[in-house]
Amino acid sequence: MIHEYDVVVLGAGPSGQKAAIQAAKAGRSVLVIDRDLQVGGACVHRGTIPSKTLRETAVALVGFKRRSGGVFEIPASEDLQVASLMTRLEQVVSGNEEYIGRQLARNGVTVWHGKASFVGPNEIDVHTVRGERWQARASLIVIATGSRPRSPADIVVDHEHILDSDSILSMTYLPRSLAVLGAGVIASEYASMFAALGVKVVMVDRGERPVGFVDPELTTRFVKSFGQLGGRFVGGVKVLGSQWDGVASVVTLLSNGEVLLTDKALFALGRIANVDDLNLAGAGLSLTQSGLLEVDEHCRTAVPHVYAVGDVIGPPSLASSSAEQGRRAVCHALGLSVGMPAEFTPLGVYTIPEMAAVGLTEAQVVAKYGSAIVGRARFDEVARGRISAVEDGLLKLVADPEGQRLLGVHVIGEGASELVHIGQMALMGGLGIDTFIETIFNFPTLAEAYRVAAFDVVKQRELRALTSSPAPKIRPAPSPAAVSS
Amino acid sequence: MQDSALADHMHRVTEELPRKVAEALARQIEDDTLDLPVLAGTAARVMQMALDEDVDPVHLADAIRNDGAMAGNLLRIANSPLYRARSAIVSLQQAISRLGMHQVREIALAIVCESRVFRVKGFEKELTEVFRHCLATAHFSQEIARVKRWNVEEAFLAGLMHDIGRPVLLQAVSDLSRELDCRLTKQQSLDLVTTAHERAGASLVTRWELPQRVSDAVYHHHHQMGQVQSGPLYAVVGLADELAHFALRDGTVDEPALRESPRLGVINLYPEEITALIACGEKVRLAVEAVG
Repeated sequence: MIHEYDVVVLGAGPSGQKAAIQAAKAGRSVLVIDRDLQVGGACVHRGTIPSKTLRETAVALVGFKRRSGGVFEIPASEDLQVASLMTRLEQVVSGNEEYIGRQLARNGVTVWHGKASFVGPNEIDVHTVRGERWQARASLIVIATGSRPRSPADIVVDHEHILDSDSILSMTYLPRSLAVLGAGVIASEYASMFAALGVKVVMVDRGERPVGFVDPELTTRFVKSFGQLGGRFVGGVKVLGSQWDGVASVVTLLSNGEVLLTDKALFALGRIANVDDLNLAGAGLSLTQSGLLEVDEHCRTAVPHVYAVGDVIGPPSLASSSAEQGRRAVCHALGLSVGMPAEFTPLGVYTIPEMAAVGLTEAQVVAKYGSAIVGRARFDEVARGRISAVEDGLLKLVADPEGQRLLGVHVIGEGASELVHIGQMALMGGLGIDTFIETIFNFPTLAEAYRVAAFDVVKQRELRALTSSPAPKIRPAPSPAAVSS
Repeated sequence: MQDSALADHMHRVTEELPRKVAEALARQIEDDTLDLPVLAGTAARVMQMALDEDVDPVHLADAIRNDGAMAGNLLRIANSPLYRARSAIVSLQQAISRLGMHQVREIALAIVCESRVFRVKGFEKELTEVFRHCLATAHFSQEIARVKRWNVEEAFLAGLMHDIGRPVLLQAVSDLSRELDCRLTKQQSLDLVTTAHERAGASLVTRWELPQRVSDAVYHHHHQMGQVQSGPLYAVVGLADELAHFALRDGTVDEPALRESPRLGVINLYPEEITALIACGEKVRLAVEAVG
C-alpha cells in the first residue's frame, strides 16, 4: 500500500523540521522520515546541542577565572570524566527532542522511523530496522538528510584514538592532549572548547588561518585568544599521516617536519552529504563532483518538485541557515512569500570566544562598491566589556563608501552570537549608521559597542569629507571612548 | 536482592545444592569479597614479558588488554590508592597511557605475584572458553560502538568484563565446597555460576570504580530490551554476546536469531549494519585465536 501525502520530508534535523512545519502550517499533509530513533538529527544528538552543552561548562570556567582576576584558580584535572562536564546533557537533548516531537505532532506531521530511498520521482520506499518496507508518495519532496564527517582515505578514524566530530563527545575522560586536524567551524569550536577545559590542544590546517570564510580581523583575534587558553594553531601545513602507536599516543606527522604526540586526535576536515541510501537516480537526480546536491537560489533541484536543503547542498551548513533554507524552500514550492532576504541570515561560530556575522564582509563591500568605511569598537572601550572581563572582543560595522548605509556586522567576543542580532535587525530595517548614535542602549551593556563603532564610522566619514572637500572646515571628531562614557 | 533471597534463588535453581554453599556464596557476593583469579597460562606469559626489558610495549599492552583477568586486575590496581590519579581510571587505554609502560610492567608483575592463579580442576576448558568468549564479545562491542559513534574503549571494556563473574564464581564455588566439605556435581557448579554471574561481575566492576555504565551493562547484558537508566551499553554488550557465540560457533545462536534480536531496535541497527557486523566474525575469530 502506498501512503499519499502532499509533502514528504527526508530527515528530521533543523532544515527538515522547518520545512515540515512550514508545509503543515500551509495546510498540507506532511510525512517526515528519519533513520534515527529520535527526531532532531545530528544537530540535537551528535552536533550542535551536545557540543554547546559542553561548551557552556568551558565558557563558565574561563569566565570564572577571568572575572575573579586571578584570585581563584581552577586547576585543570586530567582524567576528568567528560560526562561530569555535561551533566545536563541528557536533559538538554531530551528537552529539545520532546519540543521538536511536540511541535511536529501539534502541526499534524506524521513521522516514520526508517531509511528512505527514491523508487520514482514522487515515490519513496522506506525500510525499517526490523526489515519492514513501507511506501509513500507526494507531489513535493524535500531532501534534508544532513551530512556526516568525511573519512580520510589515508588516516584510520577508529573512533577510539582518532575521532571525528560524531564520536569526539563519546570520550569518557578528558585527554591530556589533543591534535585537531582541520580548522573549519567544527574544528575551531572543539579546539577552543577543549583548550578552555585544560587540554593541551594543537590545531593544524593547510590554511593560514582558521575558519577561512570569517572576517580575517576576527580570526586573528581568535587565534590570539586560543593561544591564551593554551592552544596552538599551526597554519599552512599538511598532515602527512596520523596513527595510533599501539600503546599510548597518536602520532601525527606534519609537512613542516613536526611530529605531534597526543593522547587523542580529532579529524575534522570536512563533511559529506548523507545521500548514499537515497537512490537519487530513482528521482532523476545526480550529485556534483563534491558529492552535494545542486540547487537554485530557491533550493530547488534539477527535478522541479524535489528540493534539497541544509548540509546536503553544502556550506554554510549551519543550523540557522539550514532551518531557514527548509522554510524558504517550502514557501517557494507552495507559492508563499519567503519574507526576509536570505543574505540577512546570521552566521554564528561557537568558538571561545564566539564569532558572529551578518551581511557583507569588508572585502565584499570593497568589491561591490569600490571602498568601505569600517567602524570598530573593542570591548575594552565599553564598560560592560571590562566588567565582564571580555576585553578581547571586537565589533565591526561595515558601511558603504559614504559611511551612511550599514552593510555588514562582524563580532568576536562572548555574546557575539546574540549581539549580532541587533545588526541583523538594522540591516533588515535598512537603518543607517547614524541610528546607532541616536539610539540609547542600556548601560552597561555590550550593545553600546554599536554606538562606539558607529562613531568610528562617522569620524572616518567626516575625515573623508574633509580630505575630499576643496575648502575643508577643521572640526574635531568626537572620541568614541569619551562619547560612550 | 538480599543475600538470603539470593541464596534461596540459587538454591532453587540448583535444587540439590546444599543450602550452606548457596548461603556462603550469596554472602560473598553481597560482601563484595570475591576475587578475580588469573589463568595460569596468561600469568606465565605476562610474567615473561614483564621481566623482559626489551619487550615491545605494544605486545605487553595487547597481552593485558586482551585478557579479561589481567585487564580487570590492572584496573583494580590502577584505581588503588597507590597508583590512583586525581580522577578514577575508567578505561584500559587510559590506565596504560597514564601509568606509562614502566609502571604497567610493575603492575603486571604484581598481578601475577599477588593474584591467585585459577585452579579448579575439571573446569579448565570451560574457563578458557569463557575468556575466549569475553574477548570476542569485547571485539564485537567495540565494532558496534564504532558504527554508532559511541565510546569504543568503554564498549570494549564492558564486553571484556561481561562474563567476568563466571571465573570468579567458579573459583569461589570450588573453594567453598572444599571448605564446607560439600561435593557438587559439575552441572550444579555451572548452573550456580550461570545464575549469579551478572550480579557477581557487576559487583566486581563497581568495586574497581569503573563507570556505572560498565557495571550496568555487565549486570543487564542478558536483558533483551527495555530501558536501562545508564543507556544502551547493555544492549551493545548483549548483542555482541550473541555475535560472539555465533562467530565462535558454539551452537547457541544462529543467524536468523541474530537478525531477529530485539537489541537491534534498542541500538537502532539496520539489516545491512548487522550483516556487516556478522561479516566481522572471521576477523574476530582470528583475533581470539591469536591470543591462544
